Amino acid sequence: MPEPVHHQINTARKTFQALYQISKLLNTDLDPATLSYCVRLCENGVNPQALATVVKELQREVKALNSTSNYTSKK
Amino acid sequence: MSVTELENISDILEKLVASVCGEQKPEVIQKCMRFSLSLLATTQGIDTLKEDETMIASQIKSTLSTQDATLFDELHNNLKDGDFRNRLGILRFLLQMSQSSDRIQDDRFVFSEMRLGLNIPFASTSGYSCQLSSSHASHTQVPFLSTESNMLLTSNKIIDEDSISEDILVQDLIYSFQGIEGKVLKLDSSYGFQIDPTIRINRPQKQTVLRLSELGYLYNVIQRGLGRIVSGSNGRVADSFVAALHKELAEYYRFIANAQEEVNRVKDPLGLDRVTLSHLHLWAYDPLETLKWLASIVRTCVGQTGGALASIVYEFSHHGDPRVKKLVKRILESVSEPLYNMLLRWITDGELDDPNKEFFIESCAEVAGERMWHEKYQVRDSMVPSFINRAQARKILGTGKSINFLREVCKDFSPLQGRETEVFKGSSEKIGVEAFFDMDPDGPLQTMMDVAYKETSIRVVDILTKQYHLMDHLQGIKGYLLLGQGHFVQHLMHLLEPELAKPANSLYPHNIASILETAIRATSTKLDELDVQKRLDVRLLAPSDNETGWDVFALDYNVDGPIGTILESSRQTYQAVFFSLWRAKRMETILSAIWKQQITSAKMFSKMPEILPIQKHIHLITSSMVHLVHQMQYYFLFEVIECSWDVFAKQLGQASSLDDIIIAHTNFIESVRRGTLLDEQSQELMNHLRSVYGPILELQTLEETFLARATTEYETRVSSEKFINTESENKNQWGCTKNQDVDNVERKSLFLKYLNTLAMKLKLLSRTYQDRVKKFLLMLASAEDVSLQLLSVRLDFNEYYISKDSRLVAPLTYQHRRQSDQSFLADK
Repeated sequence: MPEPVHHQINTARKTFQALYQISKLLNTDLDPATLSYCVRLCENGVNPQALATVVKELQREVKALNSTSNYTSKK
Repeated sequence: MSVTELENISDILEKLVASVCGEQKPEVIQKCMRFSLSLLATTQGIDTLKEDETMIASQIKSTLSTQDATLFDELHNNLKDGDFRNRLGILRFLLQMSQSSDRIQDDRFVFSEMRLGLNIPFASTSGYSCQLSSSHASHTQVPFLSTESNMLLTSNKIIDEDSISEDILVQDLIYSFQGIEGKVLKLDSSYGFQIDPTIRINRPQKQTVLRLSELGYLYNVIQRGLGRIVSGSNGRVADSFVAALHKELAEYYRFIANAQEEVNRVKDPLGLDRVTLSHLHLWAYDPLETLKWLASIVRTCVGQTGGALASIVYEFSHHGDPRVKKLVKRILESVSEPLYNMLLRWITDGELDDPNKEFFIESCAEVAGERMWHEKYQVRDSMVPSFINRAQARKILGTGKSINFLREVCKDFSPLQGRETEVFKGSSEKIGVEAFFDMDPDGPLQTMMDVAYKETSIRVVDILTKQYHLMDHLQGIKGYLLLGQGHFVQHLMHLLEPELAKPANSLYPHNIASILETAIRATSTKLDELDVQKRLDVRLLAPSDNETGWDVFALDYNVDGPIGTILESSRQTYQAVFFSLWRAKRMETILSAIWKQQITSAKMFSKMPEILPIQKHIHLITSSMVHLVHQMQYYFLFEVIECSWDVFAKQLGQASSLDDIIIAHTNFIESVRRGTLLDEQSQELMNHLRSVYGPILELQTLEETFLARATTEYETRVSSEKFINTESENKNQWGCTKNQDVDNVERKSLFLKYLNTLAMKLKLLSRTYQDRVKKFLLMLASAEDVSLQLLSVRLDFNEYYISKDSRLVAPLTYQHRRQSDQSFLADK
């Protein structure tokens, strides 16, 4: 997927980069777009644990659907 | 959460779902979307444990290798430059994402049941995939997903159940509020509701539903309790209790109706403003509290009636929460209403209107007459409401009892005075029921009760003293039974003497009664005491062998009506006191008779010098006996009876109710009984006093025989002398023959012998008497009562007995007193 990060002020991008790196460090399997949505959700006060659960479930479901429908999973 | 914010979140979420799922069928996207929304919405606002950033950071670091950790530190610092509002949340999210699903399950905040539960075999551990065809979940989604593949059906089931079953749950809960079983909630054995175990719902919903279903359980408990109270038909208090609870329940029914109305109005299956469990939870908060209290009140009240029920409700009113207090007060008002009405009727009219035995005063219909005051009305202890204390209950009892006493016993049917005054006018309207259980000591109800009590009591006392001449009767009893009228007693004793000397079983009450009447007529001058005198009666105790009339005779005083209420119970005591006083009086009479005979015969015996020592001896003994008997009588009549009477009269003057009079009279009787040595503690003293009287009786017989012998001796001597004088002068020859001389000498020597034995007997008698008196004095001196000790001193005023017996000194010394005090303390 193309990089969807909006070009904003420098600091914001730097922060996001840091965040993305942490995310990679932690093996979260999130692409930058998803991560940005999640960050925005968190910023809006969504329960982070619930959100994590949702994202994981969605990921797993997609994986399952793809594998059973003989789609090749793409990263 | 505001609507715009929610929109914002759902927008972002939509993008997120799209980005995660990639290209999928729109249905799948929609379902995923709905799942995410519902999960996030249900966890919205649930605060996790307060965590701080450093803690999260260290948790993250612990999952990383050392060089990654340093990298993370650096990045974390960079992150702090950014302007995130919720940096902590983001870090938490990332940490959560990195953890494996196993770890999540271990976590404190578990979402395992919120898994999407797809058809992947290992997901079946959560059990959802097996529930495909179960109950309502399947049939609600079949039309929706009928074209989908089998696999998709499985995957969508959970999502659908979540969204649809909330409506069903809400409806079910509303049913359960009314105690009706629904599709999901089933009644269990204890009238609570359980979720049908064959139906699967997720945990937060399950918890909410169970929490809400408590309402239904409480409602059932209340209904069942009320049913039991009603079926027991326990009287008015219970009825009004049930009515009050139904009134409270009406409020609850309104809540149910409102909830149902709201559900019906918003029939939008997908909209966000459906009635949710959270809505119900919010609305049900107040009713739940109320029902909890009602249920616990009902639970404790089942099986209780009347005042007891009011007490139980009253106990609930001591609650800090003003809402609870108000609720309980409403119920209590309704519960006490019937009791309050009964109370008013009782204290104003003396009527008991209590077919179900609920009031705290009970009446015993059989009792009448003298016992009416004491036994007819009682406080029913179990029914006294706890807000009325003992003194108040007794006062209330006294008020109504006095009214009934006036009606039944005094036959006074005049309307009660003062019932028209301000205090009573419209009292039931003016003074609310609250005053009943508030029991403000200065409140209007209290004032009214006090006034009612005082007025009826004073009226009773008035009627007793004015119309029934209570004082006259008491004076009469004191005068006749307690020997207050000395001349009457003296006269009666004199008249009765020959009659009472007969054996007891040959006495006839009517003979003695006529003698009694003669004595009264001879001694009384006042005509207005006729009623009192008519009541005097003779009572002969059941005679046994060897008893004379003295042992069985007693005076009695007939009482009836209101006076009887006071005096009836002490009749026996009066008799006993009279009996002992009568005995003392008799001793006095005997001694004075002896003395009289001694004096009259002294002149005659002056010609017989051999008799003089005997006479002197008798005289000595008699005077010592007279002293004792006089002192004893003085003690009984003046120190005991008159003193007690004085106290009694004073108390009578102050008495403001019949109970006061009765108490004063009982005190009087008690002190007289104790003073005249008739109570249990002085039994020994009394017995001994009786033995002291013994020698007096003996002396009487000795003296009588002596007198007879001496008189015959004297007469023979006189006649023989006369004979000698006349014969010898007439016939001028020796007046007596030899035979006569021999006779004379023989008779004289016989007489002398008799005198000797008599002297011996007298000596013996005086020794016995003195021994007994000494012992009696010793007993008196060592008695607890100070007045008895003083009596001992007085009896031995010239220290005659002390000089004979050193033991008598001891009890009066300080040392002895101290020792006995010490031994008394040691015993303790």
